[in-house]
Amino acid sequence: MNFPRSLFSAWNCIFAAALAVLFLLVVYPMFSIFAASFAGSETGVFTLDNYAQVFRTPFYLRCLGNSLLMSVAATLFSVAAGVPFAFFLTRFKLPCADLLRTLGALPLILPTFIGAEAWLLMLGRNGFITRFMEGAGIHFPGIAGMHGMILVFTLQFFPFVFLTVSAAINSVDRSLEESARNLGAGTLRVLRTITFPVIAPSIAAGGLIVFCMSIENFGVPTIIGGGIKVLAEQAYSEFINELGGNPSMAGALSSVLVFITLALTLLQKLVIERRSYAMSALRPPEVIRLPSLPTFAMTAYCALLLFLALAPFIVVLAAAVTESRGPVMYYGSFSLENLRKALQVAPRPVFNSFFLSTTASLIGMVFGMLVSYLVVRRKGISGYVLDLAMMLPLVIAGSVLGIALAATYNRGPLALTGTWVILVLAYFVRKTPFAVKSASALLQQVDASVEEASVNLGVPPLLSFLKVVVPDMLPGIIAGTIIMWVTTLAELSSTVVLYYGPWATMTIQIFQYIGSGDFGPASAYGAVLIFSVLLPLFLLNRFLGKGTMPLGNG
Amino acid sequence: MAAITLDGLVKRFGALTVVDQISLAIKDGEFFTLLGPSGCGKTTLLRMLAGFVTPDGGDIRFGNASIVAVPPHRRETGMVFQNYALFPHMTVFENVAYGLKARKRPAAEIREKVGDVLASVRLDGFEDRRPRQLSGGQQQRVALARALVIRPDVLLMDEPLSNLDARLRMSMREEIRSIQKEFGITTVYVTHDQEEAMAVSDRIAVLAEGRLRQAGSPWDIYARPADAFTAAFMGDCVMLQACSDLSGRTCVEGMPLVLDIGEIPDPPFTVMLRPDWIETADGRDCPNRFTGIVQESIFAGAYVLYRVRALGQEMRVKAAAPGNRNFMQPGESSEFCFAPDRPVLIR
Repeated sequence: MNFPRSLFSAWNCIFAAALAVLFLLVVYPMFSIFAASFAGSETGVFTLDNYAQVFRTPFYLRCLGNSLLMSVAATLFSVAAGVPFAFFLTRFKLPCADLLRTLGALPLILPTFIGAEAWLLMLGRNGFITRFMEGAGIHFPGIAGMHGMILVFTLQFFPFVFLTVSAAINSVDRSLEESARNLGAGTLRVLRTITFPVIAPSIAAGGLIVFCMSIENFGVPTIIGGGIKVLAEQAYSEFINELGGNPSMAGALSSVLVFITLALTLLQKLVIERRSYAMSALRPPEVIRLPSLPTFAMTAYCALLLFLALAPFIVVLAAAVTESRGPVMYYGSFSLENLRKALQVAPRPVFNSFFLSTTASLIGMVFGMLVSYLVVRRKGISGYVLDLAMMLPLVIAGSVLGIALAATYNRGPLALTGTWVILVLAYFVRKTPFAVKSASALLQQVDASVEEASVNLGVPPLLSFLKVVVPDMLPGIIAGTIIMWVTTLAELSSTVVLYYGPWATMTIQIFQYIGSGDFGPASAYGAVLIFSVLLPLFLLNRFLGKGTMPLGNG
Repeated sequence: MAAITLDGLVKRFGALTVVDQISLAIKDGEFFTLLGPSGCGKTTLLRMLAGFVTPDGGDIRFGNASIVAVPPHRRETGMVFQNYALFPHMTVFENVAYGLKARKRPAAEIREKVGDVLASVRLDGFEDRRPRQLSGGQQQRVALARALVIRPDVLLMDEPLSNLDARLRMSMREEIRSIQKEFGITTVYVTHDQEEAMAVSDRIAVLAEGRLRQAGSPWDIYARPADAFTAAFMGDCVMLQACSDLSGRTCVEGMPLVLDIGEIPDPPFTVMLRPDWIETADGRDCPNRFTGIVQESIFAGAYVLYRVRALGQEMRVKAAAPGNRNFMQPGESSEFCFAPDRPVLIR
């Protein structure tokens, strides 16, 4: 397609509108807090004091150090857990491999802060395993702390490594290993000199996602951090603290956080991605059948890892129907009291969650469909700029984006702070990149000549898009919309910053109940959330087939 | 139906001029081919006719009306794409009916016209199939039917045969040619295959690096190429350097040159021959007669291709296969000649 025919053609208008929306909701707010970080807290004049304070105050340095330590450790452990998981499942014939693969993606879409809550239920100071061990005379200091955060991140994010690495393994034609063998290399040499180097960039790519997801996470450090402060959390505290609220300091901490993720993402784009060897494999590597002992060992490893990652959510489901009084859970008893409270006495958060994520996902669906078309089809700088603006939210922590939106739209003609609209806008901005990725992956396989044929036969461009392009993209659009919907339901970080009283969501309820030690009601909302997330994904897999992979949440 | 006039067309992509001042007049009902190596600008030119590329200069007219400002969906061109571009989610019938529906024709008329056009491409009975259930040749015919059914002013075809295997390509090009004659639609066809171009076209335009090298009938382009590029692109050639000898005669390596091709300039000049214009002399007394030593002989069924060392160079000679096994073998020496009206002067 050739665009510049008329400056006001339908697609040019859509392009301008999309760019304007992204400018208003991402670029401008981010620029504002970036600018605020250079303003003196009282004087308002340009200064580097805030950054000096970040890097000189031991407390802030500790936050930065904690963030980095937590994320680096989570990344290393995820790689250590995910690479064998991927390798075993793609290269060897294992029983129940399909089931293990499907379940393997599941931890990604289960809310991380519910995972954290579950570990507190098991191994917190009052956890049932802790108390059981204490009954047996073993003293366990509790899961809360740095080790708890790393554990939760590892178990929930290792699938990022698993998915990227298995995709990489399957995209390498088996002729590569065969020719190495043909040239005289033995199994281990092939592994060391061919297989591993070829998938190494994908390991790095998967690891990078784990790092970014961990460092921007807000809920897990708050719930299971045991008082250990990290950047994503501290930026929020600085912003929200009504008395000593310090927008400049919040801006500086946010900017440092965004800088870290942005730098790593650029590193990935410019260095790692260029070394990616993915080819369209005609024949993926052979699946090897090994004797029963090693086969059993590999299956046991995969199953155990999945058990550790998924069992906590079963604990939450159990806790939802367990009698409780504050932090004390009466295990073994059965009660629907918690669920009754959540669904009958206080159903508003449930309604809020569903209303907000449905609205945001529908807007995101239409917007994502149009943007993915422009990004894929529009060659040159304009398509690139749109793509960049669209993907920018991926490197911005939810709490940071929330702060940016709240600070930008708290007065003036667009005073949205304190309305439900701003929640929808935040969700829309944060989740639409997933819809765009999902739709453009399919669009890339639709040759441009298909819609040219339609135009040639007399149907105007925008109508041609609807008639012959959209039907081909439909599976991607549906999958993308469902992913937006479930991840929005589970969204905590931006909600915490932006919600106000009547618009509290399920995630907020869970978060607050955990904060006050009321694990019963927290688990009830958690159970509703887990089912709301799993059901659509189950249907999606059922009706659109496999390969519609869910993506992470913050 | 319409004659097409291209008037000084220019298209640049950045610093690169892909179509450079091309002017052509394509007659009403003509089968016209744009031929050239990849990157010569032929597809860009075709896409300018369809309206998918906007020219940076010049004019395009269908009949007398300039169509540069007409958007692609109102140009009344029917285009057959290289990869066919069939709509994968629609049946054959829906694909072919698509353009008629866009023109809001009544359902009964659509049914009748689609039936007719499918019959003329020999696909009646395939209405309810999906594109992926068809072979490459069938998909190709659906694409052709879809473009023809709207009775476009101009039919545009972008390398339509390049995705088919060699045997199918031969039969499809005959079919395309006969359907085009039957419908009488002005057709612009793009290909890089000179044999295909000669087989289907009324006239051919040879393009290179965005410029028009020569336009003419297949015979003109093959037997009377205007320059060395066209000569080489249209097939094997033998280039002979003609000089004057001491007595003032025009010679090639001492062999006096007899030419019957109109005005002859003063030497030195180059003449071009096709390997199939050189014959074995077989003892005949013919002009332009020379001796050569066979280096290699390749039997190709209908003909034998000899690599011959003669006139101070190596040349290829394509001779009809003999009725027995006794064609010349490497090392043999033989007499060759060519007719005075064959050679082409290359400037």
